Amino acid sequence: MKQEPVKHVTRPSYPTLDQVKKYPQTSTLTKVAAVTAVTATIAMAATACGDSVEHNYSFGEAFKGLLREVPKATTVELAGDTTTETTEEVLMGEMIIETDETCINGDMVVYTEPVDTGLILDGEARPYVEED
Amino acid sequence: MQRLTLVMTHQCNLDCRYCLQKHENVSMPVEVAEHAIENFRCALMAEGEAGFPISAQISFYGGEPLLERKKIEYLVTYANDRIGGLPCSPLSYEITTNGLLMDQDFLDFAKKNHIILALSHDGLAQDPVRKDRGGKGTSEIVDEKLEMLLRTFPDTIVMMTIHPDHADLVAESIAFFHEKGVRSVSLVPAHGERVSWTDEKFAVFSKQMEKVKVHYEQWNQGDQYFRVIPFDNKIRNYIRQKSADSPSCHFGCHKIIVDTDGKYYPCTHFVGRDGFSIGSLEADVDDEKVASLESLRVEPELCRECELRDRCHHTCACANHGHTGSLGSVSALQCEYEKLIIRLADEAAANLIREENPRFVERMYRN
Repeated sequence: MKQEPVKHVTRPSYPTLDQVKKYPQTSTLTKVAAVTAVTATIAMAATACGDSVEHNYSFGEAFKGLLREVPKATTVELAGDTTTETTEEVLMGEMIIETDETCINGDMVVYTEPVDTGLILDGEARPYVEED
Repeated sequence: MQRLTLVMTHQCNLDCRYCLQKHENVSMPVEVAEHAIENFRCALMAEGEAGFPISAQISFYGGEPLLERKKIEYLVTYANDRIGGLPCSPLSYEITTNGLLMDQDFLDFAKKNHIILALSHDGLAQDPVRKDRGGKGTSEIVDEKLEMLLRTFPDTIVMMTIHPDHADLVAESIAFFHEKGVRSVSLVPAHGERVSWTDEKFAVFSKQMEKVKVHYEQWNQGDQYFRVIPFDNKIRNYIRQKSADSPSCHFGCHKIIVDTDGKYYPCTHFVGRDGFSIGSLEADVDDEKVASLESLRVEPELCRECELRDRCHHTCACANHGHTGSLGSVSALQCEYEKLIIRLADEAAANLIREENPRFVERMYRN
């Protein structure tokens, strides 16, 4: 094992969020009417995603799926489609409402927790009594 | 996010082979914990008044924190009352536990009060590495506790520490966890004076991590998900062009650790270490001491030439000190580990994203 700096690194071939955001908008763009945690706008045409990314990305179905994330009702207006639908989905097995970073034992974990303020306040604090 | 960590006790009911903590018979008095929560409350209010959005987490640490379970249950209720009413995101809690003292009553309490429970479990190395104080293996009981935990919290995080003598069990251990229903694993090589990583042992570990990468790709196909936290972090940070150097790695910034005697430390690694206290409940944070320690937290010279420096945890003071005894030096193990994880994470992400696995894309790109 050696402590040795790395030179001439090959950039990862998957896009950054900035690259996704800068992707040119087309008439088939999907717009999000309400604020959600997703900030990227998605182009549905399959073209190259950026000059520093080696592979062509279609930004197809998987990236459209980013718009599904909705802890509350979100109105999605599909360009070219006059239907407006309210969606509320929670991915199975995964508690998703707000993303937040939690530090567990030194390791940052992006962890999501459902928000329900009704469970937080637990009434009057009672004085602690030491058990014998 | 602002974080307060309360070291509830130094005692532990296990005797893990790599553990560097001194398991003294000291615990945090309730009054000390209440005082810490009040100070935390004031800090949060100041943040709110300054216009910053507040979110807060209180962690309970040890030794084994559940040795002070009754106190924890009381303190959660106390903190909910004192902080829960502030205009901020809901207060959350975190406990990393070895699981031996968990029962369903506690899990129900944890669920009701938004306590994140992370379970320390070394997989197939649990018996040889994490014995109880009587020298007995603990896998049977901890496996049962894991199943109980998963029934209440399907998204439970398992924390694995890799002992060099058992590095050959990593991939099989990850598969074991997956089979049990675990979907989030954090893993880190053990370090310090009680373990010895040779080139051969690290080579074994590297081969095992290649297999873990294969599992990671398999288990993140389609609508499935499986988090290997070090991989996830590298990928998400790259996607967001975010430095691996977290703000909470800076001393006194966003997190304070309160020891049983009320002294403040910047990270759990430094608890009880001479020269690293950054204040106390009475005196609050000593800004001069923080600045003095921060000045020692320099980037290692060799790292400045490295093209992976923005993606590497080379400025994490507690990791550096744990490995080398110095805040500003990294070890060969850290360097090789970081390079390995970055490479494997990128290979896996390239495949998974190219294939447009929807759940994986969502997890990585969602803001």
